Amino acid sequence: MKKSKKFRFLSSVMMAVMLLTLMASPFAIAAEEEPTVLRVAVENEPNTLDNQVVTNDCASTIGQHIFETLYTYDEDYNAVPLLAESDETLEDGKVVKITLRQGVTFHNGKEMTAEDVYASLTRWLEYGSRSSQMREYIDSIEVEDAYTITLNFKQPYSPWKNLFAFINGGPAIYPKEVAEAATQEPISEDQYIGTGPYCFVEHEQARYFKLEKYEDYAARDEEAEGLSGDRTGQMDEIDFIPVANASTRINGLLAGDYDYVRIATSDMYEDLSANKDVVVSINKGTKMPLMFFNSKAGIFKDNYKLRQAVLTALDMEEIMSIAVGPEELWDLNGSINPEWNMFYSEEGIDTWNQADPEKAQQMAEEAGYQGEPIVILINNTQQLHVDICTVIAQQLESAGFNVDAQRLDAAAQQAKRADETQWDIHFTHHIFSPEPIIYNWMNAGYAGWWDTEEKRDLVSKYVAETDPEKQAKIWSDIQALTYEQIPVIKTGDCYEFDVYSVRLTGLDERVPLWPCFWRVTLA
Amino acid sequence: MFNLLRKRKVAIVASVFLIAVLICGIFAPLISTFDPNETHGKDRLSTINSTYWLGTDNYGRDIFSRIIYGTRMSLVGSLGIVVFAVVLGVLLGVVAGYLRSAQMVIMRLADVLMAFPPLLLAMMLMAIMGSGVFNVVIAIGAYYMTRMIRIIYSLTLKIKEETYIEAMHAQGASTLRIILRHIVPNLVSPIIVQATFTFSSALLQMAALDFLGLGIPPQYPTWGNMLSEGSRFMTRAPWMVVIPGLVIVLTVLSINIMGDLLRDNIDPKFRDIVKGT
Amino acid sequence: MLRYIIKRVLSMIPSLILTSIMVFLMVHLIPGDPAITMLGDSATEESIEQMREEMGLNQPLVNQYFIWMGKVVHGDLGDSIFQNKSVMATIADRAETSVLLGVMAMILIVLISLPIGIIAAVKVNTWLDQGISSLAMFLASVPAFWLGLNLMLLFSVKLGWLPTSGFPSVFRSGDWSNLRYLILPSISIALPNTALIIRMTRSSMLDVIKEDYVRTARSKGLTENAVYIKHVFRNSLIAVVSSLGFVFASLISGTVVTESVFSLPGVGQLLVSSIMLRDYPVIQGVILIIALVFMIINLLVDISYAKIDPRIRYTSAK
Repeated sequence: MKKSKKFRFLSSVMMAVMLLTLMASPFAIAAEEEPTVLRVAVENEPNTLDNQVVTNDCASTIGQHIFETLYTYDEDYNAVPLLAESDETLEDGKVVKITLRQGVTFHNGKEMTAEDVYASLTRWLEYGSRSSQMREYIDSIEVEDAYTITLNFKQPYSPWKNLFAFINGGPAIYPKEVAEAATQEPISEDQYIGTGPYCFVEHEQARYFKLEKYEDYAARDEEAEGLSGDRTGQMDEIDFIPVANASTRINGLLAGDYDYVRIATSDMYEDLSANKDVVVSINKGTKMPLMFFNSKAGIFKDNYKLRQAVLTALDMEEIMSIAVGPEELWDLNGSINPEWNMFYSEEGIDTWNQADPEKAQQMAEEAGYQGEPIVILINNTQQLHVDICTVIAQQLESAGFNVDAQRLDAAAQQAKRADETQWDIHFTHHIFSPEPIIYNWMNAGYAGWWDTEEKRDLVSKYVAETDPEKQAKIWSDIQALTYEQIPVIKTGDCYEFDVYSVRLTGLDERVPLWPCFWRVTLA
Repeated sequence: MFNLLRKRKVAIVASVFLIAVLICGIFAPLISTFDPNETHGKDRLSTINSTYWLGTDNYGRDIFSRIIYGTRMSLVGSLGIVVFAVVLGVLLGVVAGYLRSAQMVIMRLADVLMAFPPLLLAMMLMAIMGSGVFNVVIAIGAYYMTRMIRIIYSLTLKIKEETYIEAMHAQGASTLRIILRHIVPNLVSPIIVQATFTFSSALLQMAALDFLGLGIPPQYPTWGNMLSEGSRFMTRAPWMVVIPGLVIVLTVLSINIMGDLLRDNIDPKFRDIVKGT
Repeated sequence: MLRYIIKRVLSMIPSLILTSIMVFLMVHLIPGDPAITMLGDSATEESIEQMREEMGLNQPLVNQYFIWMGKVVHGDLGDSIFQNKSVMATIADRAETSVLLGVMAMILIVLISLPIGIIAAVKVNTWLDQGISSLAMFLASVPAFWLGLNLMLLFSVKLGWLPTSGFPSVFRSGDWSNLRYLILPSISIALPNTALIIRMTRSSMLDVIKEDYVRTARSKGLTENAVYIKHVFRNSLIAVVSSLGFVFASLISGTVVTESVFSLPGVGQLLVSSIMLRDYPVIQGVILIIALVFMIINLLVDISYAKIDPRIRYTSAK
């Protein structure tokens, strides 16, 4: 009998726990003067916010509230000063003198000076994700005085300002002590000290990144616009909460657990647009899905005709309408940069979107294709890539190509594509960049390894050109060459979209490259 | 078997359903109305109508035809997993039960594999081997194999102790002969029971792997990858989830009913061992 | 008894060593490495190679294994490559969610399955029994993510009773009401698992009913209810407890899909993200700990056999 008593006791304890759990009051005790908190659900959890070395978009979304760059972008993606005050180009563009703003302080209270900028730029040039090209052109950086820094180039190099404005993989400014100690490895969380409108408080793994308003933020005088101008924070606290599953993010928004949700999936677009409680906001920066061809080995090496055959087979309208869905979320644009941008060009795009499998088959035969398997490496953690490649595989097969689509996770795809004998096409995407020269296929070290003489010539002409209009002209020549040698095929432009509660005000109509929340208030 | 069926009417329904599923799989080209991979961009996400009997998915592919064709890869995949688990499980389990020297190694290995969470074991194996139907079978089969090893091992130990087996040893019969003639035949019915449950649970595991994007490649429709694809469209196109979900549930249910029936009628001396599954 | 326990504990050592070798090999066989994931998509081969050198990934595998094991035998699982934390601290962070979730799901499973299983056994072969079995099997066939998302839609979005996702720490905040975050996840884990326990309870009850001492008890004139509760249920607990132990162990080791749907900071998600990032020390450490927990639970289950059924002796380990 003793045991069944014990059992009864145990079961009543269990019942009590359950009941308590169910009854637990959802009301928090209201403190006086509750700080205002904005809860942003983000699509993944970056393993570092060190923007100099990381190219994860989410790291930039969070990071740009903490760290700032010398320049940033206005609404039309022109590079405008942020930490810089002004700049001066000397000796036909070989020397650039940048004057810094005075009175800007880091979150540790120290004032930002040219020493900090020097250390940050040095670290970035050596280890930064997007600095490899500039590294070849720069000769030296000099600190002139506390607020002036000079860049000496070996030959004129015009993309510098755009690179200094692009925080993703770009030169975020850290305190001298942090930058000097930093290597190739990302800086640790206790070193997240920037000049931005929010300070880093803590990161709880798989829970949140907590940011607090920086009271001594030194704001610019200009009106806020896009990412530029006055960045003074409004909310006391911003929590960035990683929620990997898109349905869960949206459910959380609808249930009031989050105020702003990054990147819903395109199939939710219509429902959410019709929902009166939330606002749907389409990203202005485009996302280009890209097929990279292997220029180093395999059947596409030097065989431009065969690559053109692949391009001829593709029906971009079908690809985009199936993989993306709602028409508001994609554009049939063969130009590398979008129409509103100064680098838009129609050079070479007439071969884009022909959707002609018969002609493609004939071209492939002429190019010597004999049914060899074409290995496409696909990152299966990116749903868009999987969807697009499913359609592409179908289209290529109906044009007589023998497709071997291999789905791998991100790291495996990257490991495999480093070996040129393992693949023919790898699939990825780029987000729009106001400086097209930093797109990965322009980098001969990036998997694909496009490195022809014609390309090198045009690139060196491009970077030396300081007149924007002439530079755009050279870019359109580069685009024409891209359509001739086809290092890469883009399938169009698509747009991600964010969703937020109607209670939020202060957001732009279209989301900038990375959404910013310093102007946001919650009603 | 027929007597068994009469006792449980629900089992009749289940077996009729399973036979219908088999027929769909075998005669898929005759039954389906479209090529299962043919995309109709204009008609994506259509509801149930007279052209697309069960609607279309996000690629505009006919769901009815995909369900019918999906029968093949879903059943073949699960069957492959069962065969993999049974063949290796029986082989290793019997050897472990019979040879003291092998027992240490095999059972330790089985213990170790059991400690890996099944879905994560499958995930890691898929990451190592890359995608592909055969690899899915191995990745999921590895887990069921270890369960099979443990069951067969304890059954073998039990049978070995029976007096007639000991008598045969004393008479000088070869070990191999005893294993093949007397041990293995005794294992058949518990294996069948275990196999039915493996089959249904493998079907669900494949769906879970698809949810993580690691399952059967998309050019082969399976109920699992249809379901996981559909889960993205739960509000826009609920039929994309409901239809494959229903088919999976009904199939798993039918197989489990049959398995239960077999289990309730198994030799009682093995029931304890088989039950714990 | 004590000798038996010591013997069992000692026998865990070779299993753990084998586990460590297997997990080490598997982890290193996966294509891609932490140098790649740390530097990201735009990194060049040279910088990745330099990073590999720094991380010691270019050393022979055997060396790497022994360096790692050398630390492990001193109780140090190493440091996470991506988080500025030791593997132990990382696991400790996530264990709270997984253990609480596992316990809550277990409570639900026991509360649901035992009574239903008993009813099914008492009313064996009636429509009630068949109905229960079918329902249980139906629940077992529902995919976890589907159940989870639907529960979330109903209880969080439509009714607004419970939070959708996430789980703020209970221990750090001391706020036990945070357990409400785990209610829906534990339901969506528990329901599919109840089927197994219902079936176990039913069939082991049926087995016990046939035994001699139950007949004796009946013949002594005890009421039916007393027979069932005093004799049948207690004696059928052995089998039930062992499968409960098994279910619990599998819950602790992470319920990957449910954690992902509800965005919970549990061990399952930790493993998935560590595999994606190729955070070798974390994957290895977590699997080792899970293996250890698994073995300990197995041991506890075996010991509890004896508590419930004194007839079982500790002769030799099976």
